[in-house]
Amino acid sequence: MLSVRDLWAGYPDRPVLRGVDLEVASGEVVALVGPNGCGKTTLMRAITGVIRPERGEVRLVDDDAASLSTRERARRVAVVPQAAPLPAGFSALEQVLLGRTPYIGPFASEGPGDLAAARQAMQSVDCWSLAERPIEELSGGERQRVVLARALAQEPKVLLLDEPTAHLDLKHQMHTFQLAASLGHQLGLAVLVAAHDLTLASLFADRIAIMEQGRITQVGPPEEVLRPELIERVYGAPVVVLRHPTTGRPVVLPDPTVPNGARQESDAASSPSTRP
Amino acid sequence: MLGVLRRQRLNPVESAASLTREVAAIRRPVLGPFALGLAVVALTAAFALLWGAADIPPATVGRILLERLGLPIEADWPGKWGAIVWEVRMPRVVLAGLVGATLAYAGATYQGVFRNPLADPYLIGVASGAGLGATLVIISPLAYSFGPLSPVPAAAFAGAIVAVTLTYMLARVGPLVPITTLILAGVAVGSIATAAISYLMLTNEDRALPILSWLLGGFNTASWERVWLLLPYAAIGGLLLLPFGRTLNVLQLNEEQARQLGVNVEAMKITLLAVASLATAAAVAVSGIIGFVGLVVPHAARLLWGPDHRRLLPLSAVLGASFLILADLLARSLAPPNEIPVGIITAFIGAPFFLYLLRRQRRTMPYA
Repeated sequence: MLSVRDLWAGYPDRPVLRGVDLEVASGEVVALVGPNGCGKTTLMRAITGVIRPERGEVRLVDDDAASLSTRERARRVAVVPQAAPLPAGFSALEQVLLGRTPYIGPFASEGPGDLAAARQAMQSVDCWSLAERPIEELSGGERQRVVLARALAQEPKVLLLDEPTAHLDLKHQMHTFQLAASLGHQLGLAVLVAAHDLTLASLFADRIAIMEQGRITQVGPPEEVLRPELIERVYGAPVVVLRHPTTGRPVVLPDPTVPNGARQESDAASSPSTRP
Repeated sequence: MLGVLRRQRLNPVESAASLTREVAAIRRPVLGPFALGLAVVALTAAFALLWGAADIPPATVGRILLERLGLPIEADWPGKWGAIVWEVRMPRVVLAGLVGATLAYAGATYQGVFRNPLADPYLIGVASGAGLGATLVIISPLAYSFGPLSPVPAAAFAGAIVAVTLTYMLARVGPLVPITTLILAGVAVGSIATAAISYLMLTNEDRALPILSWLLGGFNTASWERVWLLLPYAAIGGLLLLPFGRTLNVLQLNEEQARQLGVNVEAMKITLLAVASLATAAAVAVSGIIGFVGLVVPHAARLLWGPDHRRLLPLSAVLGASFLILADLLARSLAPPNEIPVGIITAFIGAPFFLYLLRRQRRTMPYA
């Protein structure tokens, strides 16, 4: 569904992605993790065509994304951006209707079909009751759901979420990840979530992709990828990995008993690199 | 919790009825307020037509207008009155209305494209750029070759495009056009253009008076000729911009989001800025530089009818027409027999409003 091959991209003075390979199948939820600045947001920008790749290929539903128009691309891939600014004065429903843009001509307006799609999108993330409310009156969690509904109103095949839980409390973090997972599993979208919280990623994602310095170095089920020595090397912080008592998934906790950097150095000396 | 995801299938009959209601709810009607706005324009225009130094009875003004429009009415009034009403007051009112409408919808467009409530044809240097373009033509021998097409609007348009491009490039910080840099860049570009105009006036003393009287702006030299000069630009500009209302709404998200929603952001911005600048340049060419109309009027329209550009563009136009007709009426009746340049009236109303907006922005926008 989403396929990225040997993707190189970045900004004029700063190359960021250095050969990214990633596949996300229809109905699959992949969490993209990695330290700050490793290129997660840049990868999402390259997938949506906001920045042009220097090399390599992004395929959306069997087509090279570079061959698609801006409009056609927006029908296939939708994004829930990090801290999205929303124009004040519009209602939640009007915000969601903006998601219909790729289906409405540049000079036309929304019709009943667009309204039905917006309504269905809002119902599927449980925010139809907010429809008439002005966006500036909504809480962070409610805004997040409105933005998610806007992305769903695009009727995409691929859904990207860029650190969607950054400003949310525990309940809304969980809810957002649950929604993202069920969008993949029940509606058959290919879902890619950039995340900071490794435990949340482990609990809700089918696979975890670890990104380091512009490359994806590990991809696999949480049990395979979330190994303490690997996390410590990637993030440079000591951790312990436990089993979640009810789900059995790995849970990553910081380990304050190890002086920062101590184990990491001995690891680097004793074991060869885990890079593929 | 995952149950919410089940796609609900609605009863088709019930959903059709409720959707029709909801479509009506989201498409807040534009025709009602627009008709109301037109009525207000007609009312202010009528008021401005009746008001003047020559004391002509209202009924006679009405009969003169009807007679000129071709109705079989006997002209039992002094010939001078007919000329005053039809050749002086009428073109003046029509021109003020057209210029007001043009500056207002152009202002609404600039504010939408820059996502910046302080953008206005005057503040971002477009008007001064157009002024410089027009000045260059007035001092050149070209100005005497008045055919059916005057080179003044074309030169004003070229100046406006150069100015808006410069301001935009100077103001841009990465993907944003912050308020501070936009105003600074606009003031800088406007100052350079104004300085160049002053220099040209000093070095072309024989043409200084026409330049100056034109620059001060106003409608005391209004004529049907100028109305016909502006009308096609104003009408075409307005009709071209009107269908972009929804696109302007999408552009209120940041450019990255707009692009991810399938909008060809750069092409849209260039189109919208070019059309708004063409209309502004035509307005400047016939009436000089009149500030603050494009700033104040879209804000008033937004307060009255909300931020949806599908409504904002047409409603700004009708509101702008009334506003400038009224401002011009004040300009010619506050200190008779002298006229105050209408730009001074609009500045007196607009500048305090601008300061108010600037203060309010500073509180809500961290990067300003």
